[in-house]
Amino acid sequence: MRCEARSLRKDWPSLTVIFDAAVEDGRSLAILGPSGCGKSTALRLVAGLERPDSGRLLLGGSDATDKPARERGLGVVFQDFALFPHLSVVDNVAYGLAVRGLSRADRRSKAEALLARLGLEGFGRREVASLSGGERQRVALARALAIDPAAVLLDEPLSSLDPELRKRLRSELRDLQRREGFTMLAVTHDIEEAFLLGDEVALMDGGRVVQLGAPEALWLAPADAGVARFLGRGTVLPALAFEPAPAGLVHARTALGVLACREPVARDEAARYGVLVAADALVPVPATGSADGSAALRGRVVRADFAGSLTRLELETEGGARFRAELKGRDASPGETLAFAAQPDACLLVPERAGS
Amino acid sequence: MDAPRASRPANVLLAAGGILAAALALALFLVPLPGAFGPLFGSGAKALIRTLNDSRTWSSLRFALLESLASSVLALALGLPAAWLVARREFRGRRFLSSLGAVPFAVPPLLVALGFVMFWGRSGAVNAFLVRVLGLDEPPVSFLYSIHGVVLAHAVYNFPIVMRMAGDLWARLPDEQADAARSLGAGEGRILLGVTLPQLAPALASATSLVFLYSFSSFVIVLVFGAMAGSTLEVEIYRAARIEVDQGRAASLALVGTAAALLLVGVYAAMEARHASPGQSQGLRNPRKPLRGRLERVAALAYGTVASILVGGPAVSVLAASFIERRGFSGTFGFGLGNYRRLFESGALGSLGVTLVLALTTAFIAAAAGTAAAWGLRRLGARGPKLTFAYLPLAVSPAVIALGWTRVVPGRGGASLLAVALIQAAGAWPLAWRSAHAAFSKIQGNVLDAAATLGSSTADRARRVDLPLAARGIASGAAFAFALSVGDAGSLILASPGGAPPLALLMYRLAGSYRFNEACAAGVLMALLGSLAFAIREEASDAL
Repeated sequence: MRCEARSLRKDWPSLTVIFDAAVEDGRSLAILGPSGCGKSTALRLVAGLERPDSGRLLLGGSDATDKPARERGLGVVFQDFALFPHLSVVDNVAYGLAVRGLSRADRRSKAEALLARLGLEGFGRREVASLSGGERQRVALARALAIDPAAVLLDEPLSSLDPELRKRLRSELRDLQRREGFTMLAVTHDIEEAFLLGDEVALMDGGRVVQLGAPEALWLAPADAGVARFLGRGTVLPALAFEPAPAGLVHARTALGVLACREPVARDEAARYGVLVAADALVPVPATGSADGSAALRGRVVRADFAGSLTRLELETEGGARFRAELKGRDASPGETLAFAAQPDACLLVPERAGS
Repeated sequence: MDAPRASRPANVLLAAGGILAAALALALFLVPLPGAFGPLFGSGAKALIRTLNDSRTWSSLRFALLESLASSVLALALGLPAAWLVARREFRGRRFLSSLGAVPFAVPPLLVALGFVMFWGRSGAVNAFLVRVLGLDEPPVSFLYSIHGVVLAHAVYNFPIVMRMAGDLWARLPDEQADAARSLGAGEGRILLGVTLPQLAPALASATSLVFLYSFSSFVIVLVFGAMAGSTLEVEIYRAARIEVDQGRAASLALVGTAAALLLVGVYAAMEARHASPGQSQGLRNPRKPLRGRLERVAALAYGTVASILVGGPAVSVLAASFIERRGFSGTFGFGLGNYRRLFESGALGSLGVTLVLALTTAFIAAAAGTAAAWGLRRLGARGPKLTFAYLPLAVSPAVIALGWTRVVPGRGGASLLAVALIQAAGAWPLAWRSAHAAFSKIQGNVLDAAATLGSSTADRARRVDLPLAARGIASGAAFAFALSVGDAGSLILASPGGAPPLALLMYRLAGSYRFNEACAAGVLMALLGSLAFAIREEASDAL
């Protein structure tokens, strides 16, 4: 079911959360942000576990703002799963059906069928205390799905699991969502997880959605310098001045020198800008200079973090400015001087957020 | 964890429900108060003035303060070594010593009194032994029926409180501080006085003031041993109401007693707050070490011997006496089940039945009131009332409650069983509340949120989630109330119910007519029944 939050607002003493986002029927939205940005509050507002101070929530086009949580028909998977410790696995899954007055036989058979679909066949009589983290997560999901929810809301559903299991389960969760076709809202602070789980990602900061779009859009075109910094694609440097450039380009003077950037559609002359130098788009060139004449960034390696298929580098120019770059394999060590070509696609002009 | 937040109109309803639940529980204390203080209004202030001018009032207050002070000091002296042994040393018998911590809650005071009579009394085990060994004509030990007897009984009964409270803190005091003092050249005595005891002070103050409070409001032990020496306000209230039948004086004494108890509870609450204040060591338990050196071993052995005599002597005496019977007219003694047989021939089965009915009723009322209050307060999210509830049974004395309820729910030929159950439940429900409150607090807020998102209403959540999850805590509280009721002679003596007497009252009456061996048999039955309930309670709390 389509789910739309229109300026759902909650005032906490230290933070005002205003949540604006929509997710189409059968699609998934990941709500991403640093801790304390208000993403869990946003999810609780949608679930009806927090009462909004203003704003509206539309479920399938009808207003659900004033409906209590129990009447919204949304399945929620909590961070620690919140399974009922006094009930067996099957009774946990059947809880919502019992509340809805289904007969014992009906709810059992429906719960067992759902468990089977989630790969938990034969787990019905088990105590929840005997389950592993991954099994608990699936029971919690089965419990949420049992009530044929309008949408499934997940609050950091994988954060209490170990990294290995986490990676496996997030793919499984995404496959399941596609296969079963339920609408999903998932809160996470993990960028990779958000990109994997969401058809779209709502990036929150300071209580507000600062960018909403497909994962690729956030990665390739961050809405502002704050988003760029949070996603960590590269180095964000203040643009000190702009210089004339060929059409479609803008030359920005930065601590790294003059960088050629793509001209944004509408550049506000009054606003402050930053330049995102994307680490993954810098091309290594011989230390003597680039062949095509694009700006070459030269620096001494101050840090080389080997990460398997690539090495993440931090370099320092002669002028003392630092930037980040990546090399395939393990091909650099601290103290070495390297150069990288910064083509216009590697340099993105991003506005600094007002007040930041 | 917070309870789930509900919408505003629902909040008002829930708050009202919470207040109602808490009020129902409080009613157990509040309803009897007009009954207890009523006679004051009938006769104007005359009875009050007469009582305040009566020297007996002040001498009983003085006696109560004096015996409470002495009892606390002696309990502290007995409890401190036990706290050290239990908290810091590992030895054979440590678990047994530690288990004595349950004594003040599990063993009825009347049984302690009877044990003291059988051990320290004129014809008790100690005197019999001394007369025989030393060839004396007169039994040499005769301190029991004096303030000394009262103080020793209170101290032996309550020192486990000091042991438990001080031991809990002692176990967590960091070793490094003592090591630092040692490295600076301090000897063990200096470390104890200069480093350890000052840090234990809040726990010691809190435990000692609790012992003081218990001794101050003690009824049965003073009634039994204090006859010659003096009486506390509790006993004076009983005498005025039941023996002198002077209701004005009883009500006036109740007023004086309540005022004094409130003052003492205030002091205790302040001590307790300091004890629990942040900044206290909340560290992990230090590993216990074996006894080191000859001095420690000898001291531990000496303490063990004294403690065994003080605690074990009376206990073994009661058990042994219940099997010792006088045979024929010759007066020879032998072992057998005669006391139990005679007990049942004279209607103990009826007493057992009444005890069970009374204890079940008390447990039900206490658990229902405690659970309602815990649930209600959790909905309210209130903090203040929680403290009040914890201290209420200490502040309003059993004698006042008993006086009140017997007037509010009168019976024919003595107080009704319902009145007695209400009196006992008034004393027991805050404990049931504590236990239910602990169980409710352990339910994670997310679990309730999950139930809400799956369609459960508040009432439905209470039925399907809250109560099943708290069931063990509630059962534990009910079992505690049951055990208290089985052993509670005080409220029975105060209320004096008609019909077959419950075991505790039967035991009191048998002892009063010098049928001590049968009284011991009744005491053993009572202890078995109480321990059974206590074992169920421990089982339930362990599984929490």
